[in-house]
Amino acid sequence: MSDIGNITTDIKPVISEPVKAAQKGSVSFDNAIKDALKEVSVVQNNADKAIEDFSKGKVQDIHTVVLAMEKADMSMQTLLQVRNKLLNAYNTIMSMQV
Amino acid sequence: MEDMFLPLNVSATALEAQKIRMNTIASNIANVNSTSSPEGGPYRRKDVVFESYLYDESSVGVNISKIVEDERPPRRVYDPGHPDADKNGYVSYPNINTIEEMVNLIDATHAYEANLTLIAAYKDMYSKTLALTQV
Repeated sequence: MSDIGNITTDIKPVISEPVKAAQKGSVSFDNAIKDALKEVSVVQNNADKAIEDFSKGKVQDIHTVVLAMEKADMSMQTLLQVRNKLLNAYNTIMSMQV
Repeated sequence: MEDMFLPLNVSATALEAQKIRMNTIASNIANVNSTSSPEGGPYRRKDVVFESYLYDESSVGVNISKIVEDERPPRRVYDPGHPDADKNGYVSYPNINTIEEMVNLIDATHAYEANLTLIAAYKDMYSKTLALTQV
C-alpha cells in the first residue's frame, strides 16, 4: 500500500504541470479563436481592398494584388483546418460511450 | 500572423525591384534612337542600383536605392542632314547596346520568376504542413 502512495505522490507534480501552464498563458481558448478570426478577417479585407484598388486603377502592380490574395487564401486555409480539428474533437467527445 | 507572411513580403520587395528594373530596360530599348531628350543631348542609358535593407531580424528585403545614368560616351554617326547634327555634321546617338539590354532583360525576367517560384514553394510548404492535420 505504501508503494501505491508513493506512486500517487510521484504522479501528482506531473499532472499539476499542464494546469499551471494553462494558467500562465492568460489567453482563454475562445479568445484565441476570436483573435484568430479577427486577424483572418483583416487579411481578407486587405485582399478585397487590393482587388478593388487594382480594378479602380489605384494600384498599378499585379503582384501586390496576387500576394494579398495568396495571404488571404493561406490564412483562410489555416482557419479552416483549425475549425475542422475542433469539430473533430467535439464529435469524438459527443460520440463517446457513457 | 504577419510572421507567417514574411517570406512572401521579402519576395514582394524583390518583385517590385525587378519590375522597376524592367521599366529602365524598357526605356533603354525604346530610346535606342533618341537623339534628343528633355535634359538636352541624346538619351542616356539608365541603370538601377539595388540595395538590401533589413526587413526583419531574419529577413533582408531589397529596394532600388537610385537610378543612375550610364557615363559611356554617345555613339557618333556622321549625318549632316539630321536636325540634331552638330556643326561638324555628327549626330550623337544614345550609348545603348541592344544586345546588352536583351541580356539584362532575360536576367530581370529570370530573377522575377525565381521570386515567384519561392512564393509558390513557400505556399506549397505551408499547405503540406496544414495537411498534416488530416492524417
